Amino acid sequence: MNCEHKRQDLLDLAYGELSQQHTEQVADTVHECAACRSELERIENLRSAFRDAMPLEEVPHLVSANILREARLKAYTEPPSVFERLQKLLFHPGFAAAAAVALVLVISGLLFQPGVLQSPADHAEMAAAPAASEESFAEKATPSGATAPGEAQPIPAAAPVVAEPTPALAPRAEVARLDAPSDEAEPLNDKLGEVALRDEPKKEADKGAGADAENVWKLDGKPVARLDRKAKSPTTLDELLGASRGARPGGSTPKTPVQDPPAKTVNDKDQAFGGDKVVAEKKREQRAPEPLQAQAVVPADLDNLNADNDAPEAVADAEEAKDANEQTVKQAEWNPGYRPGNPANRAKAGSNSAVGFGSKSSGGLAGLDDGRANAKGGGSSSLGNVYGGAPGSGDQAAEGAPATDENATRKRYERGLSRYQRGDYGNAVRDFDAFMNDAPRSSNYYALAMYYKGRSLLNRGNGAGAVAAFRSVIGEYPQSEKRDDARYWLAKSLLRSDPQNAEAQQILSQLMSGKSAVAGNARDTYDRSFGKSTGKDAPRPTVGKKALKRSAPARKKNKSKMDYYDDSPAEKQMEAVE
Amino acid sequence: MLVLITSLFGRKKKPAWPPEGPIEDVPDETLMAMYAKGTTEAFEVLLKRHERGIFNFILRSVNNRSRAEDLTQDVFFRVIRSAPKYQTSAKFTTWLYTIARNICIDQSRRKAGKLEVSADKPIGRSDGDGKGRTLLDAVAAPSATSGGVEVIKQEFRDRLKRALEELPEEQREVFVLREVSGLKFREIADVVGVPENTVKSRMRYALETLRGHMEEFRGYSFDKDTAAEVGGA
Repeated sequence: MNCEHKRQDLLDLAYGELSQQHTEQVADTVHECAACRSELERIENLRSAFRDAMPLEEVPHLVSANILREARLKAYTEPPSVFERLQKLLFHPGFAAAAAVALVLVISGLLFQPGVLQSPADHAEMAAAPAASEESFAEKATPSGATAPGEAQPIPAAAPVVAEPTPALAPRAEVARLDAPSDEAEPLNDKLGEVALRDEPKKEADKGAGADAENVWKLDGKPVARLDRKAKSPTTLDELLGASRGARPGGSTPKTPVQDPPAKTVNDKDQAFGGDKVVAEKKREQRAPEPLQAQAVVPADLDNLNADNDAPEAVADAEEAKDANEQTVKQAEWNPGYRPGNPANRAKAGSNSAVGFGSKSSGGLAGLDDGRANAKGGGSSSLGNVYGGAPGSGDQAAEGAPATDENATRKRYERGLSRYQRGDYGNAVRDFDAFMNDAPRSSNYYALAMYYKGRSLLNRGNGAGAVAAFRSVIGEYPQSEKRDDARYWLAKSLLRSDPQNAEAQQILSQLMSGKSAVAGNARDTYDRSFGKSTGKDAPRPTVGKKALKRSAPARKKNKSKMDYYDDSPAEKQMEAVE
Repeated sequence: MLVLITSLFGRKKKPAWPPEGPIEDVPDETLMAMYAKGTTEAFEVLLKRHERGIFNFILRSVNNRSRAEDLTQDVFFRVIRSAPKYQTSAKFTTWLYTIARNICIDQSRRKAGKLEVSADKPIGRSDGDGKGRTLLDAVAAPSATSGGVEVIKQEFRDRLKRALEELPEEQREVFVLREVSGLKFREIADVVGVPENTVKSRMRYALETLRGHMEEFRGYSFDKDTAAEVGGA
């Protein structure tokens, strides 16, 4: 045996890495060779000395603890890699099922999409022969040429207008609407304001152009109806509605998304004559009646004020419309020129929207045939002339007025006064106007209503209207308890526009001579506006000294208390009435 | 399509799960797979098995205890992070010591030149004081008492440590892996990446070098019972 070869085996033999059979063979050889035996002994001695001199050291406990803590932490928080997550997702059974379902849906959607299975040649064939393609849905959705002229879409029994057969077809109808040329759209009826027409801006320009495209009307974003614009009959929604109603026994209007037209609709003549502008104008008048101008003599400022009509007030006035028919009887007595056949009066009595006090035409602004306007002097612009006119006819009529009408009219005045006291001056003016529009001028509350109307107008900043109201009180009701108050506030109104107004100065100087509360107020106002009055000689007010000493902000803050000076007679009167 | 995906992302063979018998008898590879699934007890067993060998291997490699502790943590932290990627086909011991060796190499590169020992370096201490000095000169009396044996033993330990430091890197790592970590020559070959015979050759050279350093201690036994006998002889 080669000694070098034995050295290799001696190392394996010393470290015990030989097999059992090989170990016995090498051991026998080493036993026979002294050199090999010495070499093996040296290796073993060195290993033994190394183990004795350098034993294995223990790992510090802190190191082991740190490692274990890290191991526990990472064992649950170590996020898998993207590839691992992707692999986990791909092999998840749910993913396979979802992918299969999605694949089926996509394929089915592609296959069953309308028109997809039809080749372009089919579409061309359908366009060439529209009459033969009425049964196909895709043909119905074809923008033009698919429906024969003069033939409307089948009208379901539950809808007055042409509707899509099924809701599922609505998207297709939308596509058809989008595909339709925009310049072919035109309005059909005023009620279609509820229905959104996409090409509305161009409808007037295309008027009479013989549009033949389909229009799809949308309600709340959903197409609800479609009409063939090329069809000659019916051409308006009224006709369609009529046809639809005629098909049903009784002619009752079914409940559909499209509401029935109002009582007064726009007919074909309006469309043909005036176009859409006329239609829109009439529609505006029917839907949003403007607040009524009861007093023909009130200047333009008051008109603007009345234009502030709001919805709650309209609702409140609508309640009074219930009594409109009853008031018509009284109108005949109060207004000598009242005629039941008057369109303005008819609209006042019959329409809930035309609340109680009529439209502009009912006020007789044009001086045509309204009895009130005639009684007041034919619509003169002068308040003094108007209210200075002999109210004999009104008084005569008021004599025969029933007590119930008087109470109803009084309630209107009370409501206006209540609103005035609450600071709701705009509605108070309207209430007073309403009251004066119906109440006879001989009424005890007429002057009061006019006075508080002036106060309300003045508080709203309408000085001109206030001046007119106060002048009417002064000129028409010289015996009114509010005459001096009206004079005082007339002076105040004049001073607002002209701080050195001579008429106001004259009025205040006249009022200062008294001992009433109004005289005290007049002196105070005179002193502030025109300097110190006669002073020592001038009589000082004996009532309301404390109130007069209040500062201006306090007077504004305690306005109701300040009204004590002016309103005390009225309040007493109100208490007496109640 | 699913078949195609399955073929592309075919799953690897799962290790036996759950392992049969006590967890202490479970092979390293299975324990590592268990830990990759979240079983921290498996990692505790692995740590108990290998932490001492790894720590001493690093300690003999870097000759710095605190640094050895840090590097030991780094080794096992890397094992923890690499647990999901671990493939049971690889032997865990080889993989673990490969990581430890790489860390030690990185550390030695940072301490460039410190562990580089030339094979032509003369055996023995290079300083003049220790050149001709013998161990017997350092010991007061040849009749070594128990205290004298301890001194000789400490001197032998220091000399052996220095001799180990002066070993060439390839010889030292083979010697440490074999004597300290207990790896077989075949496993060392896998860790180092050289043939097994090369490992054995390096081991023989390392033994001869150390033997030359320990020539002064020939005839001494560090057994207390025989120390006096050897010293008296």
